[in-house]
Amino acid sequence: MDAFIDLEDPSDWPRGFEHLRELEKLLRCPVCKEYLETPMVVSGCGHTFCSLCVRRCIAQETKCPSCRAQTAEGDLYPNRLIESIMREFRNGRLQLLSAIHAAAKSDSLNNPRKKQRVSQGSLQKDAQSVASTLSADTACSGSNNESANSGVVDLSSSDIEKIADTAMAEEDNDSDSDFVANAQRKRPRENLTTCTSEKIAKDEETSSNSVSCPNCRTNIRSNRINWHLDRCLAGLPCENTPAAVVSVSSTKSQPTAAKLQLLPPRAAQFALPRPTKLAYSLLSESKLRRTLRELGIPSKGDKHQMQMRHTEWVNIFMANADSETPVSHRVLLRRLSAWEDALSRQSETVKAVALSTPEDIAQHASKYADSFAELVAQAGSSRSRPSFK
Amino acid sequence: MSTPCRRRLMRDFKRLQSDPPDGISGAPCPDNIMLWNAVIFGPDDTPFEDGTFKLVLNFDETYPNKPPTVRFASKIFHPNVYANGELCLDILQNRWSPTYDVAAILTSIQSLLHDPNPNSPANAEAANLYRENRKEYIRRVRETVEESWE
Repeated sequence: MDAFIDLEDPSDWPRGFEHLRELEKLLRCPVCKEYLETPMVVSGCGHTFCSLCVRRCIAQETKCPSCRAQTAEGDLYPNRLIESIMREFRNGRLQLLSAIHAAAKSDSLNNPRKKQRVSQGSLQKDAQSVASTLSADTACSGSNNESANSGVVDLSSSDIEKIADTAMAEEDNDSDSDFVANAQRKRPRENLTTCTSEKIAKDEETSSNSVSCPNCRTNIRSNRINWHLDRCLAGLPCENTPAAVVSVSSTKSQPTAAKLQLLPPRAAQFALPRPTKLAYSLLSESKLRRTLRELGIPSKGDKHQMQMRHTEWVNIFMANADSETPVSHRVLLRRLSAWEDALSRQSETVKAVALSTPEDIAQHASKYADSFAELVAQAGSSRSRPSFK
Repeated sequence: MSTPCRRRLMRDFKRLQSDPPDGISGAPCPDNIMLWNAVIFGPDDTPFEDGTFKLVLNFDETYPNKPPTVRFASKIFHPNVYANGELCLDILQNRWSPTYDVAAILTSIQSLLHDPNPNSPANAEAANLYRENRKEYIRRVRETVEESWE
């Protein structure tokens, strides 16, 4: 459960910075609560969501998820300004949070009474002193484990990444830039960390675009993160593949970027036809199967499964088309299959915990009696606590 | 194994931890993030006051596009709660919005205790007593409140 706490969240902003907390909330999608990805504004009501989130919602019910105003796909327009604002916010986020924590710390050391006040001057401290404070105090709530980790770059794991990078370049030449923004966000974090060893500094220089995988938390080069994620989420080995080991020597002598240029642009050759919405009730199972085949997506399963798959494919495809930095259709196909895998896996687990009868529930309640007792205590304490809102 | 749904549930948990609404708590089961236990305190100035009502929330991969299944694990006498603990609450059915999170669901349930809707009764007896014999309704509710402490 500790992994939950590592999520970057508006609650990272300390008291006294409610405006920034609110700003961060506004830059997050009301549906998935992540930073808006390819933000789309609903023309009628003006609410903004990730393209994929709002498309999934509308496919289910033609209403704005926030205000339930009648909405169709044609009412969605890209909101590029919000996208740029969000990018800049994310770039400055960690820098600001670190400065706040450093200032708060030195403030409380100099004058314990002024603990909450952060003066203008201390906010402008140079990055060096902030960095040293950060490395001295890894328990800063806003930048917990992740920044602590990046300060101590594990040499062996970063070598593995470089190897994996090259392997990725060989296996897949998709220019996934989904996580480029992510990498930009992480950059200030890296600038802030104090590197003692020469080799670490060198490593940072060569992989300044590395991001940490949200799943396994290893640092991955930003332009390879999607490749890594697809494998990581599918449970496939992401490191030490035979291909990776073979290319070790070439990595050291030849920069990865140069190697990439030598590869043919396979992504450009692989393009699937643009799907359109279908009136499923008017289609026979065989006709739908043929349509799926023509679109280049899997055509297995019964009509209901094909229908779900087609709907999701339209959503993924259109959201990608909305994006300023679309990924290749090959990547989209992998996302479709990851989505379907998650759905099929869960149908088994949900059955296992179906609490339909009062007996099941009573059994569940006694199994988790301790957990419930803890929750009662928690709810009690949140109640008596003075409101900070 | 991380999916958008699981990631969202982690965010919901973090939100609930960092900014818990009054008299509400909830957490996923240690062995299954799709299954949550929650506790709601009966709101003040209602017959449910001081009650500690346990709930179980069951999510699937369609969350937040589809609502979770929510059941009371404590016995509760309420016009909109079925005998098996299931709730009759519009936001968990036809008025669900993918923008809701666990905190919003639990807050809505808490306010349902405050404002029962006798027009869509799940417990006909509770709905009738609520409309016609408030004193007896309160007595029956208080019984379940006392049971909830056990």
